[in-house]
Amino acid sequence: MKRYENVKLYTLYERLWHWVQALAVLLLLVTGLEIRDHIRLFGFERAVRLHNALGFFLLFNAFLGLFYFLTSGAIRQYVSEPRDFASIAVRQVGYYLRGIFKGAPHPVERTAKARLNPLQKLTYVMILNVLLPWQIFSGLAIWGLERWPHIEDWLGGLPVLLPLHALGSWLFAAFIIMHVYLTTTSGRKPLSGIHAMITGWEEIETQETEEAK
Amino acid sequence: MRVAAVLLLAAAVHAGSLLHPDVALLDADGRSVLETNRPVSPARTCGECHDTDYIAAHSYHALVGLDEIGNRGGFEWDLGPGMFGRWDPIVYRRLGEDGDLGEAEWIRIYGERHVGGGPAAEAGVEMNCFLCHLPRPANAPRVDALRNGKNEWAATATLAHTGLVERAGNGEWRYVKSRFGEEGIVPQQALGLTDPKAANCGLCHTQVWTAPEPLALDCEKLARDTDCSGQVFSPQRVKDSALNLAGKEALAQPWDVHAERLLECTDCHHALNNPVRFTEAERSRPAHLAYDARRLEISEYLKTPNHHFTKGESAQGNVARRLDGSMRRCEGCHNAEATHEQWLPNPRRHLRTLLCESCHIPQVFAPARRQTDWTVLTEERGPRIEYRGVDGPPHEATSTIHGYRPVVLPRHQRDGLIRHGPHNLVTSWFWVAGDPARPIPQALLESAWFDEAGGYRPGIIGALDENGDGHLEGSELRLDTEAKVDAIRTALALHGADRPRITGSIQPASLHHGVVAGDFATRRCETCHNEKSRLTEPFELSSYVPTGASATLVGDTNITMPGRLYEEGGRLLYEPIPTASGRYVIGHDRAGWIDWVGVLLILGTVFGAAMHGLARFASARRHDGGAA
Repeated sequence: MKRYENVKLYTLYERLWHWVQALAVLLLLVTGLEIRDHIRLFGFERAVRLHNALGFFLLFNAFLGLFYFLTSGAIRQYVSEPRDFASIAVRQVGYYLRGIFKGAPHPVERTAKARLNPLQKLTYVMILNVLLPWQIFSGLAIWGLERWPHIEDWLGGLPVLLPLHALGSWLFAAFIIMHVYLTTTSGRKPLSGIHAMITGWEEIETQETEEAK
Repeated sequence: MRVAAVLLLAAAVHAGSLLHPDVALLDADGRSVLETNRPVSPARTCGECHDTDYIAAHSYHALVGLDEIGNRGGFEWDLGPGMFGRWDPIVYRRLGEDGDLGEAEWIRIYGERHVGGGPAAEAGVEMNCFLCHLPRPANAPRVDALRNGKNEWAATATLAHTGLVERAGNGEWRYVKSRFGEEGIVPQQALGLTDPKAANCGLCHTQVWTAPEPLALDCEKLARDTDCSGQVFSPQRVKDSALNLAGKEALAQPWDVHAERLLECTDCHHALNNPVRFTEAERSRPAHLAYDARRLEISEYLKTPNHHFTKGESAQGNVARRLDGSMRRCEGCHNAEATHEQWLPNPRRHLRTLLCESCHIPQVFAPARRQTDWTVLTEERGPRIEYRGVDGPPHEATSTIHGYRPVVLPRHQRDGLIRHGPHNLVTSWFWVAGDPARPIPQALLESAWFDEAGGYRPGIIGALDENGDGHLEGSELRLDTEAKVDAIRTALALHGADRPRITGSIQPASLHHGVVAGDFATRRCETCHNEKSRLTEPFELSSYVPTGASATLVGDTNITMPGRLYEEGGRLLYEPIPTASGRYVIGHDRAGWIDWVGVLLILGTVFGAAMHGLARFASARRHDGGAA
């Protein structure tokens, strides 16, 4: 018989940071769509101003998060241990492809100090070290063309930067969809993951009891 | 002392008619015209105080390209870039050894838009100071004198409105002695010599209207710039004009805000060495010098006022290109950044890539020429002409004027920037023959089209008379089938044209007048940042295309036409494509493949998550059922 224990996974700051960042990204996607004339919501001018402000806010919040994760040691959550990483990742893939349909247990035991499985770690490393910097850099460059026009010669100007920025946005949007879906696979119930990110607490499956054996 | 002198000059500029001394009208030998009854010589009359030789030699209005013969023109057969030497498809006749226009005839035809001197000097047409410095120059008598070959009398005829001269019964000009003062001196009150006003410039350039009466266009003979661009310089509100303009009652803006604010043309297009207005061009100013305090003394300036006027960088301003950008532009007087940064995102980027006129001339309210078709001849032996912005002939009162939205094109500036500004595009269709190709002379065209009695030749009528009534109506004058083109080609060949073929040119006309203030300017971002961006609106170049012909941009302009020319419904259209010139309009331009990749990525993700979720749901139910 499975046994569940109520564990505090996320601190208040982590939750706040997460939701603020999520809201900023969502609004950036919406205003970005309006700037590209895919939707009409705020009007072009307000969409541009909002997009720029949100971009800087997201950058600021990213630095705050980095500071927090570094100083609190929570950064270790994202650091993979090389030993058995590949084999555990393969087991995690196998779980998503087969085990999850058979009611098999998660291959990686979650604890407050190790919340992420190898696939999540890999995804976050890519998101935080590639996609987010990509978006920040291209966004800053687009914004900076107004102040430092000569960077247009170095970077190719809007014809290069805007498509790159748009591609990054699509990737972010796809990540959010996948991210939200995968939260439904991590907990005891489909909404356990989201619940945990709101309250900080989640019932986590622990080892089987002797009686059950 | 120097400041006081400059202030005195500034006062003189605005009160010239009061300060100018009385003058003696002299003939070419320097004798009083009252004694000799010979034509007034402006060079001798004004030369008493001003260095008229210097002025004539330093005036591109007089030289009109004479000093640039040999420089690049718009067509391969051009002698130069100026009005003297560059072939004008609107006028058609052509200078040059193999052309059909001699210098005497050039004066007869072009003299109405030429101040004299330069190429006309040898034929006795002196640079006519009165044309620009009289408050009411008599232009029609001046043009009349030139057309009748009375070149020496052109300047005298310009004085007709002063009452100093009058026509005798035999058509000659004679002096009215009672209007002269003692010893033949003309009081300043009679002449009113002054610095040029907008109306003076309007005689050759643009329709200027400063009268309180409702503005009316002389559509039978539009001023050249108005004809080619629809620009009007007037302080009057558009809705107060006499034009049959659609929706006029809502048009509360003035025809030009600078005219409304009482600016004169010379406030921007001033003498290069005017000590009040002189500013060193950015490209020639030493980096360490923000302001050069050294100025000409007033006496020096009045002796040798340089009549090369500061000029902008209009696409059609081909003469004296070396002076391009010498005038103060909008940003020379207005602090655009300060007024735009409050509401316009990225104001500097906008100002770097757009001319102010792009937003501040959003609409032109007068008709403008769209096409000139010399492949056919009207009964008046001229080309078929069509205008944009008007339903029907512009000179007919029943025609409704709608105006037009100018096309925004990139301009390559002297400062290295490419900035987009509003333009009209005038297409010309014409026959060329021989190798190298040259426009077929007008006389040959006429002999091919008309018989000795002055009517259309039967073969021409047979080829073009679509309704079979035996007459050629205006709408039938178009070579829109191979058979029609063949018929005219054959007629031209019969009259001596060597391998006649049709070609076309596109002449851009930059718009810099007809400016409106902020309230009437384009302010909505979505006007451009939109899928249907105003920057990419198709612009009609010609209402029809002679069969087999194509049109190209003239070779001596500083604008380009990135985009595509295409035919639709028989019309020739131009669609600007900003990305073709390396520009990217946010909200309009997008890399389509990236959006496709993005949409497929999203759909794939949603589909994958949905399938995975459904499978989980199904397996959970199966497990729950088993447990039950």
